[in-house]
Amino acid sequence: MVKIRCYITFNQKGPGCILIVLIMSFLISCATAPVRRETKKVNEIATIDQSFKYIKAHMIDGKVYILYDWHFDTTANSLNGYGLFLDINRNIISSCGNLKTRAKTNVEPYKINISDIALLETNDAGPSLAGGLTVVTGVTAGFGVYCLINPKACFGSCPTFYASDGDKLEIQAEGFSSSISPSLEKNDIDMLYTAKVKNDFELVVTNEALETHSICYANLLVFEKQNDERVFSSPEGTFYKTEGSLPPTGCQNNNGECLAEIVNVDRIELFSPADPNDLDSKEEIIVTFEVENDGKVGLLIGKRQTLLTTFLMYQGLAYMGKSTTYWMAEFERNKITTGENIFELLGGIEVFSKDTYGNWILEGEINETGPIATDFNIIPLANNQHGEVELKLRLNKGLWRIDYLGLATISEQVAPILIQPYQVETITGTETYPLCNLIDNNKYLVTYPGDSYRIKYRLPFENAELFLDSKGFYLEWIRDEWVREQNFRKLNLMFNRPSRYLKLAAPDYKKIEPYMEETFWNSRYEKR
Amino acid sequence: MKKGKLIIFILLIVILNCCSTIKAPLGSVPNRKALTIDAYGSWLEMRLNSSNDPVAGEFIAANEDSIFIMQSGEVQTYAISNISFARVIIFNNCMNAYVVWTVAGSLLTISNGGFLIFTLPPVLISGILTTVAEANRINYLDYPSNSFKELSKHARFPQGMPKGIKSSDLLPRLKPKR
Repeated sequence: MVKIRCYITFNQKGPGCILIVLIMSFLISCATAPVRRETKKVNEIATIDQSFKYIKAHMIDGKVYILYDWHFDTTANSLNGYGLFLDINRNIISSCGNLKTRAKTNVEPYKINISDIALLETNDAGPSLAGGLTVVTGVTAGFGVYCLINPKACFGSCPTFYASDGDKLEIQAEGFSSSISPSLEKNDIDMLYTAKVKNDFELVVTNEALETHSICYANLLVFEKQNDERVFSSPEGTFYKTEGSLPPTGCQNNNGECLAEIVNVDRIELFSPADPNDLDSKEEIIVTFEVENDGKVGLLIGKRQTLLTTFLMYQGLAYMGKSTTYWMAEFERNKITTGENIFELLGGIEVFSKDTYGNWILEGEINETGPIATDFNIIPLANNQHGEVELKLRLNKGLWRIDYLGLATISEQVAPILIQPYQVETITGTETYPLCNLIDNNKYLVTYPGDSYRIKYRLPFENAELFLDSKGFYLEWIRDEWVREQNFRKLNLMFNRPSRYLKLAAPDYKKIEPYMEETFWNSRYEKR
Repeated sequence: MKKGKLIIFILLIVILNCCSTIKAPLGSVPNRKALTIDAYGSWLEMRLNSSNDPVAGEFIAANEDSIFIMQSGEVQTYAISNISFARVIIFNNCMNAYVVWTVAGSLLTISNGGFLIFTLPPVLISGILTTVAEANRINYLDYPSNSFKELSKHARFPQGMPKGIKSSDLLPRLKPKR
């Protein structure tokens, strides 16, 4: 670094030094994104962004067309455009129009048979950080007016799993909700709470969003049980068999009495709207139970997240705008370091019990990402409980929907039997060997919007508790409406000063919070 | 006035020192804006496991296990397994042109005498920002931090060496006329 003395200009020290400091600050880490070259095979034509000014068609014989004013003619199965046709040494064979000026012309364009093309190439040379991004345009058109106006309220998820409850197909689980890129791939265990168990058991996995899902495996964890028993998992992944479940006798939060919402598993959920001034704002729920028999117990929580995390995730992608591929690639390469993660700041549901002195002690925290399916977990309490038991839940306002709270007697810790699928039927989809891809841990069952598959299992028990153990990741399709919100300053704030960001974002979120649930569920993608 | 010129030149020296650029030989790659219509391969530099001599030339193609590179007018083939490091330089940036513009623009403002403090900053700031942004724009890809599949997008034949083409049929890039 060259040291600069502050020379006096016109007897004004201040402005000269400030100027130098400002310029030096700009010089630090001005690295910009690389230019992006994308190559696609002809069967990927649908994913090519047609806003690129130029496209190169590399022919099977090595020649190349460089085209402007181009488009695909799906009727004639051709790529049409104006420009140059070059040989293997890039000498001009023929020209049509003016490649440099991209002048309009009345001559017939080149019409290139797609079957003669080996590869298609597009380039984004800047000046922005955009690069190689295929933006999905116009697909939200069928999703309702409100979804169009507020695209961050539109349906998005990881794979959704349905099973029969004996009467109809019910949504049971959403796999790996937080795995939005390959490096975040992880496994996820979800209880199939209402699934009807039978020896020939089926799950239907669907892709109902504008996403590509990559499912590494979808196995069942099976626990044999007797009629009144149930098995729950703790946040640490330990499984406990329970006998019976006590409903609460009292429930209080900031809004007053809340017992009706949490006493039954009935989709009537306890929910507090987000704080209008700060999305990171905590609330407490006090719930009481009458325990007759002394013994080891655990708090059962049936809950799902609200759409606040979905909103924040989509907003982050929107701030990345056209340079999303750059930021995600940097993230994949571990080149982005951030402060406290915004989702860690929002936190989970902390459970406290009282010790013998009446002090609150932390028993555990449940933090499961996912706004779609109600998931059930148990927080074992450290000490045996008897008589009136008071528990406190501390959670972020506007982040959680609690369907059920109960106190279960823990009989023992148990371990599951793992069952892999024996058959996978394609309902809608393009996978040729879906079962092989789910069985082989080095492969993925890949699904696109509207795809669905029926996964079949043979269970060893008639009476069993079932959990889905799934692993994979998914990729969001960047929507045209998001790209317009590109804003790196806000992206930096979200990554590096999440606490400040959550205050600033509160008003925008509050505007759509009342409508998000309805918009979300009404905008699921269906293949026609 | 002398002090004004001194400030400008010190700042420009800082720019030149801060900007790190990787460049291919003149005429071997296009500039950034011409990338979209250039049909030759990028400049490839490699180090081999079997030799200390560096290898460099136009990147012709890559197949699954070998790469083709135009060296001294002839296409040579190397096994990917023998390559310890490779760099594809995709374009040469226009930093020198921007530096000249910045200097010229800054010198002009000196003639404004007492109004220098008002005219100098916009010229220098916008010129320096553009220069640095252009200089720091990443114009290369390395192997093994990127796969050869990624690097091969910048070959003359990104689809791989086309069948039926003999290496002897291929000619080097035409150098621009001076």
